[in-house]
Amino acid sequence: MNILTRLTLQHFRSFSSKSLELHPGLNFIIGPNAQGKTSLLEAACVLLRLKSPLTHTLTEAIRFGEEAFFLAGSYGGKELSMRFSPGEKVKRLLQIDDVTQQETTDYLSTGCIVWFGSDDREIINGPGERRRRFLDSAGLQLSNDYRKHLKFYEKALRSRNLVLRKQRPRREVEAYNSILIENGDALMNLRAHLCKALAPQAAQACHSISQEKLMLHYQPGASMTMREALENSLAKEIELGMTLVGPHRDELLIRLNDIPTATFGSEGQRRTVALSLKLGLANLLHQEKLTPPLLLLDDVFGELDPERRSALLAGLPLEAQALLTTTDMEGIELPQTTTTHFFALKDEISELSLF
Amino acid sequence: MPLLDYPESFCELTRQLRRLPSIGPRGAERIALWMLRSPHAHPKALAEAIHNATQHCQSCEQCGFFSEQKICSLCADETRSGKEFCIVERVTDILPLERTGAFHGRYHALGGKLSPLDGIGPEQLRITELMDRLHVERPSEIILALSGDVEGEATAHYLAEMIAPWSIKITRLAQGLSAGSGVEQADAVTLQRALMNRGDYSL
Ligand SMILES: [Zn+2]
Repeated sequence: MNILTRLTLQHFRSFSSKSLELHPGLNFIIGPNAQGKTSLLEAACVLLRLKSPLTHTLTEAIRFGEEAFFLAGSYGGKELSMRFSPGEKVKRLLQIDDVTQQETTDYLSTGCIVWFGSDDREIINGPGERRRRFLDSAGLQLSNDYRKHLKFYEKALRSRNLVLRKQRPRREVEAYNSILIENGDALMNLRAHLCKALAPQAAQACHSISQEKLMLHYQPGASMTMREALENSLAKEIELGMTLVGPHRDELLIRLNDIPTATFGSEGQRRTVALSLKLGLANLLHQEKLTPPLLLLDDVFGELDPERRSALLAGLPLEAQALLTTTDMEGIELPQTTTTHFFALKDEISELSLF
Repeated sequence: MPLLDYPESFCELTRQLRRLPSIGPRGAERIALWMLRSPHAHPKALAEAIHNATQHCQSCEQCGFFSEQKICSLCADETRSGKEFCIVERVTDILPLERTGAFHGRYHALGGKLSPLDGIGPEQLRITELMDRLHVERPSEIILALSGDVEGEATAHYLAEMIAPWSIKITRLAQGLSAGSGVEQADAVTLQRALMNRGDYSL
């Protein structure tokens, strides 16, 4: 089982330099707001996945006045390190056990994470982009093909949309078709499989939280093959100046008790469903990777009523390691089945031996 | 301000050296010191070589490779086959392919690849020149030696469309070239294999 035993940050967000020894089970980071609790979780995510759940551009995470950040950690017996310096020739230096990685494949296969955020309910009632990003967070961790197809598809889509918007000749638009066809079909296929695997896991999590019936249904952004869909929509695309079919139009339809959650669900139901999706993803990753993902729960308890708090803590995969931030432990009932450690973050970080 | 620094002429030399690619302040200072003190430096010969090369090297009007004449020695070589055209992104892609010894036709460097996000469209590439050459030289096969990333794929597809009315056989280097990489990074063996196993790309 893979555990993050140490996490080191340099010039990351507000931290100049910080190191943290972590434990199996639940690791609570307790402290007032604006002390950088979230940054510690973000650092763990960036270290393992090279992406931040909070920002598109990692440049933002570099400490003010510095030109690079450095993250390192011990995960599952491997020493991972990442240096991000956008101004230099090698923007991202990755190492496993001091060996520099030319490709990201090995590095990214080291560990998985599931991020729980206080804005997770936007997955339910936010724009479709939020649901596609959720699916991507699953797909990117489950398959290297997914990463390759998504990368090619997104770049070709942005290029094609620009060419369409600028009303360039049709031949320039169609130069991207074969890339969209190859990677778009593959991506929709992978997402369909992903949803099929995720649906029962999320349904089970939902049943444990509130005994309600959750159903997920994947609706591809093209109702036929990409080749046919692109052929049919070209005239309209030229008129509107954007690509109208493909996985960037995918939807994840969510129904609770046979009712679409986004429009008809209550606030509480949306929270239940958001939790179910994340717990379902955690269990799916556990099942596929044979080791539980690292769970990062950023300030989620304030949003939840006591019952959902207990259901969340009880629903985490049993052996999973979790990092959780909270302003206080008030009203958080700890499960008996797992070990718990506490860290206080206020100017300095220190582990509390007793709570 | 330090009280003592190098004389102005020395500082001007380091400033000029720093403008060169991948030379930092320390490197510039080291080179300048070597220029001044080493008996092997021959600064005059170096200055002349820089001047000569920049004055006399131009782009071959046909393939785009460096040449001191209007037409480079390869394009001027009558013994080379004009039946096969190898299309590359950059002029620096030509030599690695040539060194494989597996190709005996002619080259055409586009000067880049389609990349609208970077402001590069067909007008920024040597595509009109390519079409002119097809008119005059009438090759029977076009080999696309373009990289496997999105820009390379789009460029290959665009050219295949442009060339389609000519009913010329179009092939594409792909075998062995890893996705996302180009000709310049590949070693000779990989390139040779890629040339031998090129796939049909005609529309
Ligand atoms: Zn030439």
